[in-house]
Amino acid sequence: MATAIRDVELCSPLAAIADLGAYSRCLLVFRWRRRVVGRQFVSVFSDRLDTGAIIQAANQCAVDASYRWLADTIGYDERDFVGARALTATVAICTRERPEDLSRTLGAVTPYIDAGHQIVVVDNAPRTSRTREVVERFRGVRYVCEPTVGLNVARNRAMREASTDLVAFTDDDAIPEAEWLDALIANFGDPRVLCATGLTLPIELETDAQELFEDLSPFGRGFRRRIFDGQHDNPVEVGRVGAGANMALRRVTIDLVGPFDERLDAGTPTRSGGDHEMFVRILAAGYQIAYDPAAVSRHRHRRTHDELRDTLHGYGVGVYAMFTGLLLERRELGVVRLAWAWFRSAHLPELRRWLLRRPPTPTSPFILAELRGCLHGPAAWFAARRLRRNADCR
Amino acid sequence: MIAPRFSVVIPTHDRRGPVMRLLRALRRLDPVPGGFEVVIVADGCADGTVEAVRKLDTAFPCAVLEQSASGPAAARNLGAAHATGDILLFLDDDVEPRPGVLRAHAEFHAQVTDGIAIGYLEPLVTARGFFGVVLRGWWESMFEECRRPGHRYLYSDLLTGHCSLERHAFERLGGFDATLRSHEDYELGYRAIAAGMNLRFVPDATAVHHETSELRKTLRRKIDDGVADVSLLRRHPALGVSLPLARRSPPGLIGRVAAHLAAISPRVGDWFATFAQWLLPAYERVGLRFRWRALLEDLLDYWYWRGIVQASGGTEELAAMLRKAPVPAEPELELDLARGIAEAEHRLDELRPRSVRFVYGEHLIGTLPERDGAERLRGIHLRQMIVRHFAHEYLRAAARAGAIPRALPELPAEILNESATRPTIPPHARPGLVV
Repeated sequence: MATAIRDVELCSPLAAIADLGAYSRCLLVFRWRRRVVGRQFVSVFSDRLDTGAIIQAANQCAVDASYRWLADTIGYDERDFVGARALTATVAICTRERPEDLSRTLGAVTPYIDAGHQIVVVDNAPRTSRTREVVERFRGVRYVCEPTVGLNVARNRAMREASTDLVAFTDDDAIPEAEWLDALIANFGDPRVLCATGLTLPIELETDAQELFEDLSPFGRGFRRRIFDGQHDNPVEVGRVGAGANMALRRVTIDLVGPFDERLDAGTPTRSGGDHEMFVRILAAGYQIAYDPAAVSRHRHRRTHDELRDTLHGYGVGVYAMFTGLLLERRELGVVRLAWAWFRSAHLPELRRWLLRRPPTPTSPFILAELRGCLHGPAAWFAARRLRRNADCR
Repeated sequence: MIAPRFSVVIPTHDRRGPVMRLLRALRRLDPVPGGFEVVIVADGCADGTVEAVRKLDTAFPCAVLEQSASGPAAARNLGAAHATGDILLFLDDDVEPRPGVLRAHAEFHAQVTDGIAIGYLEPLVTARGFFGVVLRGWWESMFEECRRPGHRYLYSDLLTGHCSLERHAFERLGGFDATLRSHEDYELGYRAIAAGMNLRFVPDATAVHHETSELRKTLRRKIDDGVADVSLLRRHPALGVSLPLARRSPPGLIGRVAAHLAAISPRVGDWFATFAQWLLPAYERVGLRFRWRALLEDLLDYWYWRGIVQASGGTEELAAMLRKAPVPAEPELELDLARGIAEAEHRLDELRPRSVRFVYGEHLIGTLPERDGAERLRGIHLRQMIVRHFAHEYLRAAARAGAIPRALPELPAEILNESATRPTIPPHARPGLVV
């Protein structure tokens, strides 16, 4: 059975949650004055959750909720900086042949235009005109066609097309909340911050595949703001920093640390990893990345098992391709330890189970798909490098 | 009100190229109503700086003074003595001010009486690799706390590379201590804060800082920092707890061994430090970032302690100096935060205490003791202080007083029952790459 997702606003009187008859679980997202302070899965035994069960579930976010109350009560925002000026932003959506999803995302982000921000849709190597037609329905949204296939190619195009201080990226299958853009922008008061990422929650957990994705690879990175500082943090450990589906960069980032690596991510043999490779370079150059859970975006996970298996395989390919590049080109020996740690904690138990012919768990096929992707990653990196060189020669 | 005239004072020592670059940047400054003059003090220059500056056709009055090599503090004092402007703007010779600098300083002094404006030095680092990253990070970190609205200014926030104050105030303070070869800005900052002057960071006053330091030179300069900190301690014993030397010895085994060697056998210590320095490029070649960083910190510590031992005569003498630091007095003020933040801020602005005890009704939150070299407390410090130093204590006291809304989940026992007093002042930062 599926999992319902419900928001619980702690500053309002709690009420029982009804109409859960179609669900076996409920993901409660706790908020204090709109700010997400925690989440908890709760089993549903009848068609409702009473307040007692909600209060019990809320206890795990007591500290974070109390800190939010404290910050609100005394009126303190750690993101405030002297002399921080109002920054302008372009919301960039890189898309390829997903007009229905794009339409939903544009519906969520177009209100930012009224606040003086810009929106650009980068149509990556389109086969049809459907994306352009969707964009034309939204006033004030700019359409850019990027003929070269590759998500990182499209991201670089968005960075070049923008004339604002910041470029905020959202996926075409995500729905940012109303406060998303302001929350990301608020993190750039400190000039050392080149990038900000936010909290990504699922839109729906209606299918088994979506529930498995949330268990295996949740986008959320916690409910406390955190600064990742290249002066102190290990620059190759970027899995906890955030994801490209919910991030903003200063436009000058490409001048300071270089553009997105066009050999990585969707549309190339490496399939993913392009956002994380950029995070590594930002941190290795000594700059900062802010993770701010106030910037909430909702993501629609893949609905079928085949899609999920393919996605996780792609993650494996991308991460190990990125590791290969970092090791060979930047001599980042730290990736060896990281690769081993990931293999030992995530893949080795599953591999052992498979070798000993023990019965698989529901997640086994997907973890093994990810492992197969990891093994393919280095070859994918070399293939992508060859393709890029050939393209450059032409 | 008459628009103030600026005197830009620039000490220099054998840096003809950077000085000419700076003078060209001064030509591009946005005009201010009172105008400005430039006073360059050539401190034992032998590279033709004086002749080159005199030949340069500037649109502003530009005086060149010469002195035998006596250090930047003496040079700044000489420049200030010859200045005729109302406001002294001190710039290092390796900076390049942005066009709006004078306007930003002028606006600051129009708003803040008895103020010292600390301008932003945007680092442009020439060093590559790990050292370049660390150097830029270190420069940026110097302004990190100043950028926070609730920052409580310290003597060490004053950087003479880019700052301004009224000439009369500078004269009243008695200028820089010319006997110091390093940290003369900190020493002036100490006296300025003690005299009740207002240090403030002015982010719009920006100058690019061409940072050309090399690793070897940076390490050796730590000796000057150690010597300077001992001099600061001799002049102002109460500063003892704030200086890095108050840690007595660096953290980590290697750091402690290095400090010990600096005290008992500097020749052997120097040999080890020089040998260890050769490991840095090897670490960098194989990407061992954290080993590289740890070794650099140890080397910085070693040379800093070399300076301390050289200036103090030994660790026993240093300990005797540290014992002269006065014991912190009882808090000057008790603030009940249950009455609201606005009222507490108002009382801090009204009374400007050096130390304060926070309570929530009848429940103790914590004590912020007196801190020598820090400005007196202001209302704007309060919110940041609570969140950064007393968050748990505030929550616990508010919970005991029944002030936390019922809708919130109950705080976990580890917070509610915590009894140990947490540190009230953040520990002093490690000595950075002072260059």
